[in-house]
Parts: sequence; C-alpha cells; structure tokens
Amino acid sequence: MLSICCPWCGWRDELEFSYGGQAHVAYPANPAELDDASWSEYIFFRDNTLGWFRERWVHTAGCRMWFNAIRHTVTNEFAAFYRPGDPVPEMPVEVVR
Amino acid sequence: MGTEALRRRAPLGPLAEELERVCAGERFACHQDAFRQLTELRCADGAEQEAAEIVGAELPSIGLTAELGGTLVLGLGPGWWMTDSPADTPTLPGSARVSIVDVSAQRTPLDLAGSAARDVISHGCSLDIHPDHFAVGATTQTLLAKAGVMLARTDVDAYRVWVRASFARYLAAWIIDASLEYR
Ligand SMILES: [Zn+2]
Repeated sequence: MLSICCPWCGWRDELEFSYGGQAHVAYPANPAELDDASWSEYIFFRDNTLGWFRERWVHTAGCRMWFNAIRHTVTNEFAAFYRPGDPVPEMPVEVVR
Repeated sequence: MGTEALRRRAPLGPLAEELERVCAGERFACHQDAFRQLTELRCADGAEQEAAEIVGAELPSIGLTAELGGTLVLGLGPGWWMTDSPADTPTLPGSARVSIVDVSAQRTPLDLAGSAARDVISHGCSLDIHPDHFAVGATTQTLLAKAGVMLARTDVDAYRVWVRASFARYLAAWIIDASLEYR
C-alpha cells in the first residue's frame, strides 16, 4: 500500500485517499469559445507519463482537502506533496536504473 | 401519531446495551454517549478570527481538541471544526462567513476506555496512536475497521470515536469482536 503525506494531516495509508488524476489542468479561459475537439481535449485527454508525474489526491477519509503530489508512475515513489496555490516543486531528475 | 412513535432513538439501538454490558472490563470498556449535540463549524478563508469570536474562545488548530465549558471542540481541517456538547445546547448563530450547522443526527459518539483501549483501536486503525504521536488532546479523522470516524484521545487511556449513524451498529459489533481478548 502507498503511504501518502497529506499536507494537513501527515502520513496516512492510501486507503484514506482518492485519486484525482493529472494536476495543473487549467480550466479553459473562455469555455464558450472552444470547439468540440478542444473541449474534449480538455475534458478527456491527459498525459500518460512514464516517470515523474504531477497528480491530484484528496484526503477523503480525513480532512477532505485536495492537494498535489509528484509520483513516479513506474516505481510509485513520491517526490513531493504540496497544497494548491503553493509554489510548484521542481520535477526530480529521472534516474535511469 | 402518539408520542411513543416520536420518541428519539440512538443509532446503536438495542446493541448499545449489549456493547455496554459486554465491554465493561477493567482493561477495556466501551459505551455509546447518545444524544449529544454535535455541530459543524466551517469558516471561509481568513474568517478564523470571526469564528473564534462567535464561539467566544480560541479554536483549536488542526489535529487538536479544546474543552470549552462542557463542549469539546475538534480541529478537523482548514477552517473546519466540530463541537460536541450536552444535549439541547443551543446552536450558535453563524454569520455570512461562518457556518454553524447542527449535525447531531449524523454521528454518535462512542467512548472507549481502559489500558487495552489503544490495542483494541489498533486492531482496526493503521494510525500510530502511541502517546508520543497521538497525545491527550489530539484528534483526527481516519478509518477504524474501514469505517470513517473522528477519533480523539480524551485521556491517557480514554478515546472518543464519532461514527456515522449508519455505521454505528457495524462498528459496535466490530468493537465487541475485537475486544474479546481484552475482557
Ligand atoms: Zn488530510
């Protein structure tokens, strides 16, 4: 099981969290002006990164706050946990194993 | 409808008596503290001071409890507290930036006490509740036997668990089972 550090509550089991997908997907500035292709791009299309990935989690069984994390999609290591609005941490340098 | 039909019922129902009878040992005891007045206090970003003024006392920070004249206040998250008071305590009025809502029917408090209470809880909770990490006055929301609960350490060997009404009978049955070896 993953150990996840909620920025408000500290380390908890993965069971207490729900996954929120890719982080920093900005809502379109003028949604009414988007054509169908751009709208579906915003709604459905996400990066499928192999390696370090910025993603969202919510502490469902705890403080119910959303936050961001940097996780390696292959090793499941976490490099950072940060609150929405916090300075966005640098991506770790990929180490080839 | 007669008054009999309108009589209030605690979430544990008849299981409350069984829980109290079975878990009544020196090392472990548990009972439901029914019909408490619970309110949820939420405030907008930056309105923490306003919330404290409405309550008339400093509100505890996240993860801590405060005792305010018979009312236990739990710091649950950013701008989020729960109060636990004796029945029929009037609910304080909120304001435009501070919401205070009566949620008494949402959860029921269970008191767990005794030297084995920590072991019983640890059978179903992965959180480290050793006094070094979860001292008297600490609180949190977590999973106990997979049920979402608020948990507070009220004394060295005493814990209070607020469980949702619909999970209460399940959790009481789990406590009866999990405490078997400590009774
Ligand atoms: Zn949390």
